[in-house]
Amino acid sequence: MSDFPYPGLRPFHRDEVDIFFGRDAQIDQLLTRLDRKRFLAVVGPSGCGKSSLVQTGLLNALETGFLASAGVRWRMATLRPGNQPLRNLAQALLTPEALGPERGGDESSEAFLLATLRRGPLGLVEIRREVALPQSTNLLVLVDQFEEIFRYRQQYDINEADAFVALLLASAAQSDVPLYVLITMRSDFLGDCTLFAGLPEALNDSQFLTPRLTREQLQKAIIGPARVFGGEVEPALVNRLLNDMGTDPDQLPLMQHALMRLWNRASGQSSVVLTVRDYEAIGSLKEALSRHADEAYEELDDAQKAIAETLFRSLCERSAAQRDTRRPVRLENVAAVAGVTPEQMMAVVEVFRHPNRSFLIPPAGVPLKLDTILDISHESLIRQWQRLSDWVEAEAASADTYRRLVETARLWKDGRAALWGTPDLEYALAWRETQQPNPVWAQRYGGDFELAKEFLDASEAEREADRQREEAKRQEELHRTRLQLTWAMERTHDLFESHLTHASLLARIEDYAAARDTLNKSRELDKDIPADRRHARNLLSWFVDLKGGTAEQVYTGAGAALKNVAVNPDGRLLAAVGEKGTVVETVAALPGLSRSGKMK
Amino acid sequence: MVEQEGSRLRILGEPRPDPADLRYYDKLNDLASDLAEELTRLQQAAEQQKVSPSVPTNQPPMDTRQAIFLAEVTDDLLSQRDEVQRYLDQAGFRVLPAMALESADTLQQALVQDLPQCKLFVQLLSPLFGRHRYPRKQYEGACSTNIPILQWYDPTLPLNTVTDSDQLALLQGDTVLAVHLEEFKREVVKRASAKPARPVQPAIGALVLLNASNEDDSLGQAVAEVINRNGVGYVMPLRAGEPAQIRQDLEQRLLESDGVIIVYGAVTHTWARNQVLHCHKFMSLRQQPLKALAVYEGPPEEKEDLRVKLPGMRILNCRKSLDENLLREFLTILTAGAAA
Repeated sequence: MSDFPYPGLRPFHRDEVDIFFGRDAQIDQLLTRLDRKRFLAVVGPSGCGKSSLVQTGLLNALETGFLASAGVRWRMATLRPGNQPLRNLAQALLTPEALGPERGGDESSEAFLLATLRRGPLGLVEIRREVALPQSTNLLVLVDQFEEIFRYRQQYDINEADAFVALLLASAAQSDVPLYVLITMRSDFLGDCTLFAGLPEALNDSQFLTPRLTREQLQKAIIGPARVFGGEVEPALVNRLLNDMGTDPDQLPLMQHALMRLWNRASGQSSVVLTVRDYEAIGSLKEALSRHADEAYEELDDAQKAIAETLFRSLCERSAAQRDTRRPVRLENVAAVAGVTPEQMMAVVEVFRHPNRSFLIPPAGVPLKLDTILDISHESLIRQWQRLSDWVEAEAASADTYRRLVETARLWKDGRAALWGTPDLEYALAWRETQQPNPVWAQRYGGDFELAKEFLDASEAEREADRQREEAKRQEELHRTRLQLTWAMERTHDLFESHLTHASLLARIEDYAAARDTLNKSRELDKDIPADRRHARNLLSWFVDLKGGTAEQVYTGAGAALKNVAVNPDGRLLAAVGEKGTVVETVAALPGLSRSGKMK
Repeated sequence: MVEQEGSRLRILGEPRPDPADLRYYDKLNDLASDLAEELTRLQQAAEQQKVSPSVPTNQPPMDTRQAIFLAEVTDDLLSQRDEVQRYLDQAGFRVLPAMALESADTLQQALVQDLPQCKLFVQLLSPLFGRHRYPRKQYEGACSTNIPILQWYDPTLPLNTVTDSDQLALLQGDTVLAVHLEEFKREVVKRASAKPARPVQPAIGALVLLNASNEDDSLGQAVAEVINRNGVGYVMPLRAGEPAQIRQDLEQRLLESDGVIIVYGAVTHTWARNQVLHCHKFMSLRQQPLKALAVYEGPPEEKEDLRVKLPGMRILNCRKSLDENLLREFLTILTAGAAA
């Protein structure tokens, strides 16, 4: 019996029949079809509630005797194909609900059953025939999430996948022993069924496409469970929920999750009434799930947040067709991927599988062990929790990078590809830095981690060697340039000195005009000439200007050709002597004026 | 356009509509449908007159179709209203008011005259509140008559863009469906076609649902005899037939019986447990509380415990043999409760 009216995100449990409302007509149809063919495929989009419809609705209806022709005695083997479909079937057959009481208890039971199942398509029929069950007892094999077989076939073993499907079909096709086969499958994998011989034909005969619940049925699913627990739902809330749900494929899990949260909020009160006000407070249908998951995430410390990211990235998978699906993983495996102890991983899992959350399965209370298979309770979490959507996106990008890396590494090893350079290498190195991949993680994407690492290291080393070669070349080039520069400088200096020497010689012979020209040429070299040499040139230039230049003052007072001129020692008086006598004038002479200067 | 030319009609011209103008053809189809309806009416009137010559031919035969009140809408919803009207017409319903309501008086008149004839009040809503708020007035008129109400607005309409508070309140009502129009039309027909729930017939004396599987047939018979001897009626659920029949029968009994006895003898533990869980589920849906519930444990002695206990549920331990006293005690409680 249920102890809570709404299951939230997880599917309904087998014995929660007392809170399972709104599916009665669908269960009737399932029973009728199963009676007709003994094989039934319950198909529907993710979130349509097919697992609950089968697990809680159909299986209980069988055991309640609603399929009168089959009686009320049922043994049920429930499994998911996972990564070992035949072994999972053998294990399911050995549970107490199936053939465990008759075939279990022996360590080798599983091996024997597996061997029989592997013999051929009638293996399951042989097993059923060999086991002495009470009279009128039926065996039902339920393969939940049958779509996992497509991934198994693609990634692991085509032959075992084909054998598994053939076994199911042959078991349902015979009528010697009361054996029924039921599968549940996401409808977007329907086309993939053509991969298996006989499966499309079987589906054409016995397929049940799970209908969306009508407004009336949904109303029952909202109100019914609350009433079983003595509560009520405001009519306005019922209508609001129905209007908000629309035709969203995630409608049912979102609705169940919102109702679970509302019940938790209201259950502290004397009379439990779910209200529109509370509904808006939890973020309504649109945000309730994402907010709730974020609340759980925010409870973690920084280290645990990193573990949570690795956990959820491991629990999701993006297919080649860009479909995001669940990916069950062993606890010890995901701990190894995260590089933490199983206990650290368990602590994070507990936060997300708290009874008030149910984001992960197995549900709270089921002990966690190293080999526990962890799973997301419903795919709607992938689509509705924004943070998880981002993680899935990042994981897909990371996986793409790794696959490309490992593929190139293999080609490189065979001598058919070169090491990576810019920009692939930079991108890959940045990816390695941020994602910190390890061999356990890489196993998920085809393994060969060491090879990939070797390739990446070699690429990095090659790039470093390239860089060093480039540097050496650059240095050499620089050296050469410097030499050229030095040579050029020396030439410049020589030329400058040559100009100076030449000008000095010209000045000595008093060819001041030529000396000035030569000195002017030397000015073109000034930028490469040290200052002291330029000063020397300037001194000479000044001397040349002085000696070869025009006088600043012309004295004409004598009126005759002057024969001589003299300056007193302090340079302040100048005396000129001409033909007609001596003329003396006092002037302010220029300092340094030579006493033997010649005047015009 | 035609004119009479002696004994013949001369066609003056023919309309040349654009074949892509679907609205034109919708309207033309409406006209054709109305004409066909009128011709049928005239034919029936003529036939009726042959049978009863006293009945005047201009009196229309009584329209026996179920009527639905399709409220007048604001201008932005006229085409949607036409769509709904056609759908209902095709589904065999009479849509009222028959004429467009152009004034406050005619609106009031329609509410008074037509609403009482209708099984359902249907209204299409938008952010527009209309002149004199006639959408709200029609709704209030329907509320005052206790007629079932079904309203609609386009699910793509963001309600936070509706600025008028009165209109927003109308849009957020409990009877407003925000679904696609096709779904709404189906819902209208479904609601209007629904048969009234069968009233629970008061049983003469107490009635016990005696739920025993085929495997406990003889045990069930033995218990039935004791119940019968004590003057209490019993009913056993169907054990053969289609799954739907078996389920519906059990559910009906769970809703209507005064007491329930689940026989847990040779049958499987899961069967008995599931029956208890079904009781739990349907107890909450009953109009009257269940007066007594018991699990009758018959032979064999060794059996798995049910691990479920509902409030007031009794275990009648008769694993060794039938104990009439235990059953009588149960029946006493039941009849006392039934009398009360």
